[in-house]
Amino acid sequence: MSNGTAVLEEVTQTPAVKSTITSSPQEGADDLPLWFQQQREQGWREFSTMPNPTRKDQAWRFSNVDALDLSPYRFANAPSDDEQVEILERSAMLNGKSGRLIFANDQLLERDALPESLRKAGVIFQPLERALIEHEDLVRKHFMTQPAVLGSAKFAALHRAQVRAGAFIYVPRAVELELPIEIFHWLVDENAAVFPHLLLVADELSKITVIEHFRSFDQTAPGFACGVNDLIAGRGAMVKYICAQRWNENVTALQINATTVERDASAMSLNLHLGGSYSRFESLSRLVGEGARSDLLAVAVAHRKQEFDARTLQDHVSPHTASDLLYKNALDDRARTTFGGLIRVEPHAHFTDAYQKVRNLLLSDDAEANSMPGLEILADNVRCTHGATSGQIDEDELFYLRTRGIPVKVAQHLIVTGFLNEVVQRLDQAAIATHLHRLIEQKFASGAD
Amino acid sequence: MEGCTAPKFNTATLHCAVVELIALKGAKLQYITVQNWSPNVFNLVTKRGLAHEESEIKWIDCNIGSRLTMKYPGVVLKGRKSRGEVLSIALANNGQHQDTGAKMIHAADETTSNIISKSISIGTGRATYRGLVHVPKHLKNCKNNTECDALLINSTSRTDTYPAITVRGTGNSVQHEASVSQVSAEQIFYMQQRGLSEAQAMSLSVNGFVNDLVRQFPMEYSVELKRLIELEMEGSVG
Repeated sequence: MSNGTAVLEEVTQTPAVKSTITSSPQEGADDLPLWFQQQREQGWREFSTMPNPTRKDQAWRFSNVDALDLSPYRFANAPSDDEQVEILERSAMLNGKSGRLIFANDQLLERDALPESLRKAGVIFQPLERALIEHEDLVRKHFMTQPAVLGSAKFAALHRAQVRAGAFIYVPRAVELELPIEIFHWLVDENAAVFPHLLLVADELSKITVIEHFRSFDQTAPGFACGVNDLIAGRGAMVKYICAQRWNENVTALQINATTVERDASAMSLNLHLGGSYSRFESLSRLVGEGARSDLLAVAVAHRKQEFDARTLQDHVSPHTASDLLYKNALDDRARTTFGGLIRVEPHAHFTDAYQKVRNLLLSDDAEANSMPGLEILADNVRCTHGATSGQIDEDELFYLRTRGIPVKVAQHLIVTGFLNEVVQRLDQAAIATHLHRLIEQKFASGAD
Repeated sequence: MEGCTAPKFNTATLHCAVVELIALKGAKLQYITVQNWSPNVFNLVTKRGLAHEESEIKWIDCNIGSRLTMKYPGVVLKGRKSRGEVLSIALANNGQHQDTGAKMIHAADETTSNIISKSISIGTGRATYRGLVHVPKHLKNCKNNTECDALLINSTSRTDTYPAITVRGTGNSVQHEASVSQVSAEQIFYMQQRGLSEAQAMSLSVNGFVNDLVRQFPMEYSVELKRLIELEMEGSVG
């Protein structure tokens, strides 16, 4: 790497944080609240004592657990000045936004504060470290309160022990943010590890859209990311969360998301997975109040030897709740995808309306799609359905397009784009949808060579 | 055809059987079970079939009795153009757990498989569908269709579905669909209006739910099954 010397110089300026991530957490974070330090220690204890997942665990069935060797990864320093300038340039995504945070190697690079009007209304948008001090009570109340039940408890514990960067967002009662908030996480150095965190608390009747970007500075440098998101939609709130993951194709990534949806609130999440050599994504959606609604959307475009592993749980705790899941995967070359999803209707959660649909489009003979859609129903007055399909491009559709003079390659491309488009459309946010389309196009272009 | 019934003993009983079917070229094989063990039998059964070229294996499996049944009839589709089918009806009443399902392992081109599973949970009964569909790569024109429908009668009833589907390559298509529902109140109301009691109406609609499967059985069995369902449904309402 050409910037190697620059990084070395940085070491003398910032305190040495070169240790690997599998050694115990850093000392000397004394300015953080005591409870948080205790959480770290507890997280570390849990991580050290829990066994590694094996393929025999149902939660890791079909998954390539060998990809989870953490020994090469270490904490990296802040990027050099040149790198920082370039990162800032490349972090211009949406024209209209309420605020923006940019992290690289878990260090805060830039912060575009919220407009005055929103700050006056009481909206908080801060790096986690600062929020821990200024809004300790709020953070403490919500910080990692949902256990990681979908298999990655060990990695959630690691995150708890090592988390250093992230965002805290609080939207007070009845405040609506018209424009989205953007958060960037960059991986810069070789074998760098990041632990992105997002804590979003939307109070009663508020409205917010957040988009997170996960990017690699270098197109080949391996890295590791282990992120945790907690989204809390208070009564009647509307929360939209979009994740645009495009690490480079040598990154191992784990993302553990938990959404809590309270009475009459609605939450929608869209996860676009393009990058990573191995990317596992766990999404827990808990519908705890009557009238709550949750939409879980995901698109994965996998090629070469990429592996995507998605696990979801739609947990219906209260009656009169609705959830709708739509996951679509397009697989080329030797790519693998796994989907393990469960709809769980707790006893007495009557009048539940739950749907789950996963569709795989296989574009090559060596691609492999695994689907495990599941239902666990403990109440009787419900409507729950799920469907899983795996197939290839319809010959008739291809033929039709060719009769209109469209070449095979273009026709295939059109069909795949159309297949994925259904998910992005559901978001109902034109600017973000356009951006996501562009990312998908870039991914296809990169696979063509 | 196999029918299972047992007198009720005081202690729990274990029934552990193995059934293996081999269909050679062009053969058609159909295996029907109506299982009605007493509610203290643990019924752990292995059922598998090997289908050679252009043959067909069809498992018809009705589970009504036993304390716990764990049974997943499977077909290994070894020969070209072979076909595997599992039709399964499970009825889980108070204290019962019917853990049934199907396995379809495609190992040759142009193989097709079909799984239709219908389950009914009554009282504290629990019905589970557990499935496996495997289509390895370089196979062409393999098709699988899976449908699981579950009916829940009481608020303490439980149903689960855990399929696992692996597909490789571009020549194959697999679809899985499952739904969970309740007997519609409108249906019951309609039948009561015509003079049926609530229990009769419930029994009729449950029989209707499984009817399209039961019709495929030989006469004697479909009559017996219908009576068994009526018997099990007695006193489940109200």
